[in-house]
Amino acid sequence: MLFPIGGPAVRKDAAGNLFAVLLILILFLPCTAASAPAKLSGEAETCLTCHAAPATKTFSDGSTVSVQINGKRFASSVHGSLGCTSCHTDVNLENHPSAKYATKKQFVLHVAKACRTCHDDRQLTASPLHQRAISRPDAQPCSTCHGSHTIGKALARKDKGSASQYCLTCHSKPLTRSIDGKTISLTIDEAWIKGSVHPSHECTDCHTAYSKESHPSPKASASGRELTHAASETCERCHLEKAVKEKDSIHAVVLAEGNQRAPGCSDCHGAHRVGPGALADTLDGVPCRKCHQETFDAYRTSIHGMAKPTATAHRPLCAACHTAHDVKPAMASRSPRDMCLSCHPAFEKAHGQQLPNPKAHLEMVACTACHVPLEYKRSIYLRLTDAVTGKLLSDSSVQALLKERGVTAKQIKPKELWQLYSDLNATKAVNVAVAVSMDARRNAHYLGPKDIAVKQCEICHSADSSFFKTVAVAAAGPDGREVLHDVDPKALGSAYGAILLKRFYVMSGTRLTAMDYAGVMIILGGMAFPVLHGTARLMTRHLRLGTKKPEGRGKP
Amino acid sequence: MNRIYLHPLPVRMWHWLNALSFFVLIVTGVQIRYRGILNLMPFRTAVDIHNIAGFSLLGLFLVWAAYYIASGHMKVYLPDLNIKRFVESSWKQAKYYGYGIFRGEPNPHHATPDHKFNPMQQLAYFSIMFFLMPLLIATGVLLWDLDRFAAFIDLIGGIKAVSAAHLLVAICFAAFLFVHIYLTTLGRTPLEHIKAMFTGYEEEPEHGR
Repeated sequence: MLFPIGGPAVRKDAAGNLFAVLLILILFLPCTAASAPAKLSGEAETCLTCHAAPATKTFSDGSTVSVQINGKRFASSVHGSLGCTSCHTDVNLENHPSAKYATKKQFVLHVAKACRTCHDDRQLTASPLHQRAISRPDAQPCSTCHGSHTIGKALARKDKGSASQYCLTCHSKPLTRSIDGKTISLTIDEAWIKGSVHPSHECTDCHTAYSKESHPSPKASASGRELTHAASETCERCHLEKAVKEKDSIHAVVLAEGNQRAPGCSDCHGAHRVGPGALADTLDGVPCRKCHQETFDAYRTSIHGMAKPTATAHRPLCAACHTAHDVKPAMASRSPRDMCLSCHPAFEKAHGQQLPNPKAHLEMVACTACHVPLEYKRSIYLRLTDAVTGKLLSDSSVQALLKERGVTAKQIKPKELWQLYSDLNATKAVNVAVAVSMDARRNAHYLGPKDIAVKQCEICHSADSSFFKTVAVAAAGPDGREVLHDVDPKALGSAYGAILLKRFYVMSGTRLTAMDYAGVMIILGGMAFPVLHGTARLMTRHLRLGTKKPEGRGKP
Repeated sequence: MNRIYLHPLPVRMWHWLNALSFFVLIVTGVQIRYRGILNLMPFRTAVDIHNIAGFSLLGLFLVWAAYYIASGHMKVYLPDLNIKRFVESSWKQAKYYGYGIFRGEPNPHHATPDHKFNPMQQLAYFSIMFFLMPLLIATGVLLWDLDRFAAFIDLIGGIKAVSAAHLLVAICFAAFLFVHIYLTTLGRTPLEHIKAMFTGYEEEPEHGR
């Protein structure tokens, strides 16, 4: 066995016995001496007797390594004058191979230890970048950057290619970074970039702080999420219009609140594998599901989720209603009518053929209230809006007034609701817009086909309709999201409600209950006259019979 | 006894069609308001029938107005503008209903085609035909087409205010029906006045004229 690190699987064409080697050396020494550079050590020349020829070593796990050495290139390297055993310390002519390695990695790591014989810690840590590179738990063996036999400075080796090639020298290898205890991969597959919508981008186009000459220490990030959001700033440089829109989104608001879970550009579009926009228009590619999986599951069962895209129309996915970048906060108290209108422009006409007073219905009743299966609960929302701008009033003012009035109960009572309205109106004109909508925002995604739509008037127009069991006042939180305050459902049928909810009246469903009592009293009053007068007539009948036959006494 | 042709055919037809409309309106109105408590018919059916009956009532009201204006008999509805005389005659009539009728005293009012109603009836029917009926019909029309009249409805207090007014008047009419029907029994026989509304003829004692 000539090669000391070889295992049992060393190929026969690379093996031989010592005798044979010596014989070959005697016979062909002039040839080998002529072909190798003069700088080569004698030991190296000896080894190259065999290792100049193509040969492969196969390890136990099946991995392989070429054991062919280019003597010329080795001689021109900084280690050209060294003998092979300077690094392959466990190899000698008597014992070759001298060790067994299960894997190529194991072998490479073993050989790399030899570098430390000459290159001490002081030298290796002189450069911060080098120090960082070698102190990683997953630090690569020296040969990854410097080569194994054609040893040279890493920079010199990388300088030959493009900026991306330079970066990929290291970043195509398994590289990780630890942030806040979590390991983040820094490994990039060039194919990702080539297959993305940015195939010609160089790494340095986005990672502007880096170049062949400069590799500053990464900014300290508290978390991977922080890193993601910092990276979004890079995208803004080219996609400013989208970035401006995104700044107006609920995602930006949530992020500003300190919630790092809010998505950055790469969360939806990918970091290095940025796909085409059309990818987001597919069920598999839509990015929203990463965070809104439950809502997506609801959508998936809906008429939209089950719809088949046609040649001219996509399946309406998340962005069709919520928009892609300026995503607005979802509001249970708001009908998605305007969004529905963009795809169903004739819906008013269609509903007008079935509904009496279609405008009144469509103004108050959210599309979802009728088009989502009845197993999902509905609610009544009283939206407190500025009469001039139509915007939801700030919840802080609502809360302050409720507190001022000492309203602490779970539900706002009818009178308290009226007081709240009056108090708000004292400073500016306020409207109370009513919406019949879904109890939970997510349930709005269960839109069903036409045939399950509510068609029976009695579903709403009934004294015991389930639609009017929960009522809430809606105002706007500091981040634009709606804040709901429960209201006693009796408010809908109260006198306060009659004054407050001018445009909202569901016959049977939200009737003014005080009118029931008034009606009974008036009817009883109407009945009282015939009963009392008739009784008196009967009781005085003898008086008339004792005098004379009664004449015509009156007209109805 | 004198037979007086008190109720011409158009008036009788108007009266009974009006009665039919009222009956339908009350039944369907109760159904519309109390669906879930009372389930005589589907809600939509009740609304549709109510609308038809409502417009019938509107048509009948216009016919009534046109007939009485054209015939010159509208004055039978107009109370005496002499307040003192009106109060005195009303008091006399009220005393009769509240006391004299039980003793068998004669009715102080004797109906003629030009003086059909006693002062109390005049006041009641004047209020009904000149105020309550128009109010009932107007609010009904507003509620019939909320989309068309939305702005006006908002202006006068909103849907619930209009609905409450409509309901209140309707309840008053329903309550009045008890009184109205009871008063038909105050003739010489319980059915005398009802028969008159079919035949057109009332019988008046000669000495009372």
